[in-house]
Amino acid sequence: MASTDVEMRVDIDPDRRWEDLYRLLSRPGPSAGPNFFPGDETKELLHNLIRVLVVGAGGLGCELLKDLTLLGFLNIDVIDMDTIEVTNLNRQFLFRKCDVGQSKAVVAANFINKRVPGASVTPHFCKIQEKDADFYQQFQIIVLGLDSLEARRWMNDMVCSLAQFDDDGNIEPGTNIPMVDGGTEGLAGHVNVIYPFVTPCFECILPLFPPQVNFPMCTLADIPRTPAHCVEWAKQLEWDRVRPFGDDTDLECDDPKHMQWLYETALKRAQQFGIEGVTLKFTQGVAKRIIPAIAATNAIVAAACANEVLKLATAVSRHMSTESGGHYMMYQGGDAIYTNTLSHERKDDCPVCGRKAVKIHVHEDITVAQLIELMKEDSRLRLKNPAISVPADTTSGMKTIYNPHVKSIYERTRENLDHPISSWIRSSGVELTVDDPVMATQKQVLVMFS
Amino acid sequence: MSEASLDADQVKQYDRQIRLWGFAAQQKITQARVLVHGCCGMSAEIVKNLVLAGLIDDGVGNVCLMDDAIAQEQDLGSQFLIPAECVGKMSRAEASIKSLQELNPKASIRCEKGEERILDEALLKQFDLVCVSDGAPNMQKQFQLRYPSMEQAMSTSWSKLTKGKAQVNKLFYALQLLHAMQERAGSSSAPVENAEEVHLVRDELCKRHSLSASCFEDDLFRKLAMQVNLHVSMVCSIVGGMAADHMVKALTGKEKPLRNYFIYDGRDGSGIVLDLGASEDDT
Repeated sequence: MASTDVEMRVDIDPDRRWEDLYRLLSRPGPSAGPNFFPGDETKELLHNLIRVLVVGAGGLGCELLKDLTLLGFLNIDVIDMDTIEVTNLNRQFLFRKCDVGQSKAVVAANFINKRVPGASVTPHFCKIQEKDADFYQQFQIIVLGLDSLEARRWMNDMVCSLAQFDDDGNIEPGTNIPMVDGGTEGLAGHVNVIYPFVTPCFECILPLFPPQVNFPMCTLADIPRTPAHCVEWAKQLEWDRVRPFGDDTDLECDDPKHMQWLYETALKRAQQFGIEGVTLKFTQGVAKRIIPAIAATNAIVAAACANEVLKLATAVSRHMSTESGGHYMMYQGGDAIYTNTLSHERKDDCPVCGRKAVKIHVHEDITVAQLIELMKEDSRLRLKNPAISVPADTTSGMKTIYNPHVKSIYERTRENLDHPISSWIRSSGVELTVDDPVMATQKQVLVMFS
Repeated sequence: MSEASLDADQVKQYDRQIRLWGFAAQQKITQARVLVHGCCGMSAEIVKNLVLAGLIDDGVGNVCLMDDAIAQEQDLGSQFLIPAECVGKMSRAEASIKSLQELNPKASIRCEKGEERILDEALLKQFDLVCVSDGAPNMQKQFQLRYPSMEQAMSTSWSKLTKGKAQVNKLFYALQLLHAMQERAGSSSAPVENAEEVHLVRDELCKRHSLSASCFEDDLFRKLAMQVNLHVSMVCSIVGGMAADHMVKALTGKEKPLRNYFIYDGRDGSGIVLDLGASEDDT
């Protein structure tokens, strides 16, 4: 089988195979960008020199790998930490029933490498956080096919941190890597072209996305009103209280036995309060935060992303940007079709790409715990679980105030939560250094006493 | 609306889309019978999206492909269902079957020769939905939802389109001029080169529809003519994805498909929806 494949590659005439693509790339036209150079050099760039990173090998990722390789991008890396599940098969078409349980990145890469002659897709079966700046720096364009705000924020911070500036404060060309961020949900989706320090970064537009619905504890604990309250009660409170599968067993939403327990427990509570609507399916949806998904929306959004990647790589036409009418395209396929392309503005005090530090105003007496809650809720920060430190008084190092990420340090610093922050910050205007899971790099927060 | 007719495996596999459109709609999709005429890159995308949605064989057959043209190397650039080893050896329809079947082993997928039979009523009656690409401008098909027939839509007076707020995209006029030229030449792949002839046909069209010649941009038309039969994979994906979406809506009756003509312009990513052939008594 392998030798036949090699023969195929030798037999196929590249000019015939890429005929349509080369027609686009061989002639200048009025839509071309100022940096478009039609001809062989551009083809060489596309096929051999450019390296693209596809983040995610799911609904968008599968479509992206197909589109990009058919467009002539032959050197692609794909990263995904997940394994294939049956529920993926209605849209992630590079996978088959027999692939269930295997790495998405590996199976997708193998499929494309076999199907598209000349394609070289390298898979990475791991979390994005397990790769460092050296890894991400290798790519000229990065495309995101992610399904969470957190992962987007982390990637955004990592890529923005790669940009370097000269002494005049201008970006060193080539160090700000453009990111094409795609997202889908049911019949809707978006494409956002992020050029770090030129367009708004992802963190700048975070306020557009409403914070995750977190039900107040009192509603969950006392009087539920909706079926979702019952499921969340079972998940967040009752599991810990009852520990149905043993003290050491944490809830795994993918375990059917755990899910069955969640469903039965939530149902009993719902019946107790006369609430209808708790089914096993509903329970799964709420507990796993399931987003409905179909093939067509993923095909459309991924293709629009691939369109931008081609334009960014070859300048064959103008890519989405503020100057060309908008860097952010939204697609609505629910009621007929509606799309709109618009631009947002960069935030001055964006913690990732901003020119000013994020200032928070607090009362001198607040405790460390209260400060941390503030940083989680502040719409400019929206941190998840921050570790904070300040410059040490006497040495040039840092002093840790609180760190929940490393067990030994957590044991040592958890008592600080109840202490007033003024124990470490003597005056207004001190910079805290913050480490948080949603950020790839450390952030500085300026604390002002009011 | 019950779970009984879909087996446990199917309920699991299609969970993510059943959450979107419900069981009844999923039922209708499984039983759909679709004819795909012309197996270019865009059709490949459409039929991929439909097959993945869960067509299931119930003895009557789900997908029928019709395209007698022999698979060429050029097809490999956008028609991802055709494997390299089939080039030159069989029709595009035949070459597409294996990949399609792998996406959904439960669907019944076949091909039929004789693409000119697309105008045969007896053939068309076997299907719920017909997808036509690459030509066949003389087709007529009445849809269940009381949409204007193709002929009605295409012969509608364009001057009506400029009424109201909707600004008709110049791309629409350029496309119509291209079709008119192709009809004259008798083929959808004929190169369009003679500028005089183009102007002649353009003026005829303007007269027929009482439009000024300014609706046609020479530059735009030339560019369009250069790209005749040019298949770029991502444009196929976008238009194919939208077409599949609206086919699902037509099949399931869940929501109204777009009415009725959609143009996508990949130069700036814009799309426009036009309502052609509407009469006052259409609901």
